[in-house]
Amino acid sequence: MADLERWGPDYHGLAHAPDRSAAGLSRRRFLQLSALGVGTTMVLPSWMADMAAAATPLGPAEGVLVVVMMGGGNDGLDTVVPHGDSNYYRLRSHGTAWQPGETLALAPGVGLHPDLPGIKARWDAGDVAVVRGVGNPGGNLSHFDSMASWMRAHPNASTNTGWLGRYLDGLGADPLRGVTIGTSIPLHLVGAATRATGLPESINDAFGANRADRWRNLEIDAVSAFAAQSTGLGPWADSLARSGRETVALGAQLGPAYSTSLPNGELARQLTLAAGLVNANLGIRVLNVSYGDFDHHDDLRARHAERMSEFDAGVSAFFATLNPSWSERVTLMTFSEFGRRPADNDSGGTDHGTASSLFVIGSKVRGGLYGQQPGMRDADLDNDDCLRTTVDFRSVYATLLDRWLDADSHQILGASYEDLAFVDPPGATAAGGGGGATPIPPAVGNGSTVGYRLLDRSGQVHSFGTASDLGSPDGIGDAAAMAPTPNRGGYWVASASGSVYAYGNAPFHGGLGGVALNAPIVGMAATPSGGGYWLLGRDGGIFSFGDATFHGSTGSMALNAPVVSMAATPTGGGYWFVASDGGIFAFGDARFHGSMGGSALNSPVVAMAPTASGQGYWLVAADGGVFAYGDAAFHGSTGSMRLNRPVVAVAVTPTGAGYWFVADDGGIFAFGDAGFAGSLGGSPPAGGVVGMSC
Amino acid sequence: MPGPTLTYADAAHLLRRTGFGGSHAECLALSGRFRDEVVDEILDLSGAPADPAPAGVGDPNVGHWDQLVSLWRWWFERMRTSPSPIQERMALFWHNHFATGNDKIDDPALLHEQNHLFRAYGLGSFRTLTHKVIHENAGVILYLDNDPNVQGAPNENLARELMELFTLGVNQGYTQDDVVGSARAWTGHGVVNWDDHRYQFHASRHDTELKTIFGQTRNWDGPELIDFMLGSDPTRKRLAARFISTKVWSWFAHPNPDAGLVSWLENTFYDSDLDVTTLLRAMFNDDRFYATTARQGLVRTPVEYLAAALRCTGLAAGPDDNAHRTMQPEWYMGDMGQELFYPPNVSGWRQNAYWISSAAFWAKADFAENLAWKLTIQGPSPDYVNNFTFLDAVDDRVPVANRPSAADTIQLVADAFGFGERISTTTRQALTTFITDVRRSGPPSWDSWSERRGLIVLALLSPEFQIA
Repeated sequence: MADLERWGPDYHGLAHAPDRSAAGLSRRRFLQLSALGVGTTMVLPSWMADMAAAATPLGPAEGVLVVVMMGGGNDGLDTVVPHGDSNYYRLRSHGTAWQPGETLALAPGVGLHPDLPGIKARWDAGDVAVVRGVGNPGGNLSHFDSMASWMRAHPNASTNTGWLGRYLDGLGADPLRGVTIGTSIPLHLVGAATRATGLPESINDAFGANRADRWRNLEIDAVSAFAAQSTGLGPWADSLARSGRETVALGAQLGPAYSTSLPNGELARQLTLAAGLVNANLGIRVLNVSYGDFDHHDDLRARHAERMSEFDAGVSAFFATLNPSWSERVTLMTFSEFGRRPADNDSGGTDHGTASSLFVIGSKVRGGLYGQQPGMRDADLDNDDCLRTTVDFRSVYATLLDRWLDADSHQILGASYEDLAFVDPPGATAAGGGGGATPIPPAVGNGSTVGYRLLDRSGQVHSFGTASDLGSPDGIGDAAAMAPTPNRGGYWVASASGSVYAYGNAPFHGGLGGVALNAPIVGMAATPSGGGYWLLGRDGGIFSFGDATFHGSTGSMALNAPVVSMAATPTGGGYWFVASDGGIFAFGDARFHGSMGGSALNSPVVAMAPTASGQGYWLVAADGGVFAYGDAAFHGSTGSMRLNRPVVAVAVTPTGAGYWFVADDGGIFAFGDAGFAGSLGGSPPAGGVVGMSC
Repeated sequence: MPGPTLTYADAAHLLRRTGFGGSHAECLALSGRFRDEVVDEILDLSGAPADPAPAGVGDPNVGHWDQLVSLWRWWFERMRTSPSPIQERMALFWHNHFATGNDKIDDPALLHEQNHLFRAYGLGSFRTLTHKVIHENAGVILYLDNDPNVQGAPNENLARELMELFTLGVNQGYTQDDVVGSARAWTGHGVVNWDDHRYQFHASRHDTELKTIFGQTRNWDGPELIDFMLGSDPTRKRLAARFISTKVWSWFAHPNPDAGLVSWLENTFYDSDLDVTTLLRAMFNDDRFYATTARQGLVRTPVEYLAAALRCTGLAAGPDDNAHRTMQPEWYMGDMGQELFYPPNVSGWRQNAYWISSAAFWAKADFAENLAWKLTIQGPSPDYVNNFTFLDAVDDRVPVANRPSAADTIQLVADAFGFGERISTTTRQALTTFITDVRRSGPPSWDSWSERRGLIVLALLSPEFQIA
């Protein structure tokens, strides 16, 4: 069902019809474009031809910009309150002024709206830049003109592209580089050659995403089959058929991102979905959400408080949903078409104004106040009794383009603007330990995360979903562990006796076949390069092959309980073991984040998996209990369920936002963004399942 | 000498383009008939229903949202039921041409009045229609900022668009100086006041000085410009004839007509003194209207798509009734990219590729699933219109063995949805696979119930139904 609530506030019209200036200038470009279209018959939209290239995961140094559009004109003085200026109290004399004790103190004389406690906490953590006095020099008080100027951000007022659209133009034709939640594409995300993709809020509105029912799958497959070959009914019929097929495929890719249940509240819903889309690592660089209405000509106190509460809840929901491994690669910014009049009106509201304040939020943001708060003496105000802009809004864009999006702001904005230096580049971290950029595992196959493999005792590998069957050492009878290659295009299988078998793009670097072992092999982990691996003995002995290096072992220690599983750090410079009593042993650059050692467990620990950052890990017990440490998020467990068979292995999804357990009868339990692609539950393999990888 | 006759495919094409698709029975009835006679019948508006304001619209006790919903459903109902759908097609064309957005003027009653003008004058003289729309109803005046266009502070918006978008075409037969002069000529043509959107000429705000427009210096008044451009000045009248007739052809046949076609359209429209019915009659009687370029030249706009679905299934646009046998097209049209009375800007919506996107596809699928539910919710029903009684034959209570063959089923579905004469091989194969899989899926209780539903959804998502 379409959502009727989206109707109502003016800002929808503003965002999507920004070209109705009195002079009609920007619209003129639309005409030029359609005139161009007249000469080029039957050109297909570029995204169709390039959809196959969609969902290219981001590189470790590529940042994501999330834009929160506040439609209607956010009152900057009511968002970041200048208590220290007595003129504020003089001008806000109709019951809208905040007293210093009522707001959240940011700095002497500066208070944050009291309904922004979550933002305040991030401010305290140094993750919030507040830019004051931001506006459009030479702008006017029209919603339309101002919003168009902010979106366009180009000296040529007839340009019909937006600043992020022009940025997207430089990233190629992948339609998922830019995404907006909603079906119409606002001007700032429209480029000359490409534009953002509008995604629906609800997965139920995305035909093709929900493949849970066989009867619907038959319909979905038929839609794809409409494009199996040319219709013979002309280019438009073919184009429509292809659009159906590609849309269905896009829906399947997006499915996991929608698995998170969405909270109430327009902005919180959108931002939760936005975080899920980032987690899914679809290659999105720019993600836009919009909400409002901020056009509070009356009753500012109550109405603006609602907007602020929504913003606070939305940002909190976003970061709660965002996989921590992305935290250093995501920055969020707000914008609105203008601020409001410093003097409140007789209705307790504020009329259209000029300069406002905006937020830039993220762990790479250099927290603090930026820009000069505009003066509010009568002499300081302009002819319309509005604030005088101290920071050109385009300098905010330039800062983000140059520092965060690795772009050329001069080229995109058509001029050079001040670098406000409120953010550092994404990814790079100065923290000790692992150091370097945080590697994010690429998505499986074409981006779908629904794929995994199970290894049974006999040596057979069972592949599900997008994971392809690449072979297995059927019949060896003592298979013990498996590990995927970094891009999941191959895997190794290790036997208890130390033999190693390589499939797909996994190279063979040696094994222990024929070597007499003190204890059977129970675990295996590959290096980040795929150029080597470790084998782990039940006694804690470690064996290194290829570019895997030895960082220590417990082979000479007397253990309280046998070692059951291992995992390597993202750098390959270390590894952890876990013993069945929950004890953790960390070597090399692997850091200890906590363990269950010394605690009484209901059931032995059987497996572990690290987070993508290496700053945390999950331990899984045979009864399906999960223990999350460091930056590992708890996505659920079967700890309270009575399982038929014990859990034996775990695999984390490529996004890190979910995991699967497998029981020894091949039953699968999926949590977080992990999708279900099948199980052996109906036909348990003889000897049981012993390993899993995604 | 008798003129050409229509084939079934010609009839189906003609009824899709001049309306919202014909039923199988209608196409059969027109097959073999003389084309010119059928065209005359299509252009005969004597049976068109009267056009009173929809319920609630303009009622100060009804909120604007409810008024809009009423307006939307009323228009879709006219599109679904009118015996003269060409009248609605032309109203859609003029709504897109004289694009006026409620997002700016916030007055559903005013938009209904404007819409009524499109219906009452849309197939007559273009000059008369332009007068009516520009300054007898205030929709355009408000949308293009002519109320604040006053002596001493001219606003060029209406003056420019009147020439550029509404009559002559961009940079055709006017200069910036003409725009400046025209803006002064249009000063004072506004509304009564902020709350009363009736057109009013405020003499005190009108610039009565001399203005030079199109090389003539005199005390121009705005409406005179319409008579000049579309009447007394042959040069500009010819430009307008070319601009408008080419646009009409583009929206009814295909975009980008070649030079010979444009020249013929221009002459036809000019020689008729800009009479729209004369232009349409010539177009629909021309072989080029039936050529492959035309048959394959257009994607259905979202509104055409929705109206066609309602018209062929007989499901009304309206409130939920006890039987749930109504649709709410207003839920979908915006997501498909075309919200009536909310054009993207004064230049209106564009064509073909403009309507093809993932978001639009998802909206169509959402609509299709809802329609399938509404159509089948009561099971076998005497309410099925047109050829939808075939649904009884594939009802879940009919044993699979007793259902029509896959090939027959596909033909029945396509006939019902109005594309029986052009089912592509690809679509036929996809539907055959679907029907075969659904029917072999086990006991009837399992998912053979989904055959009816799936056929409806797939028909609406087929490329055949989505092209015009």
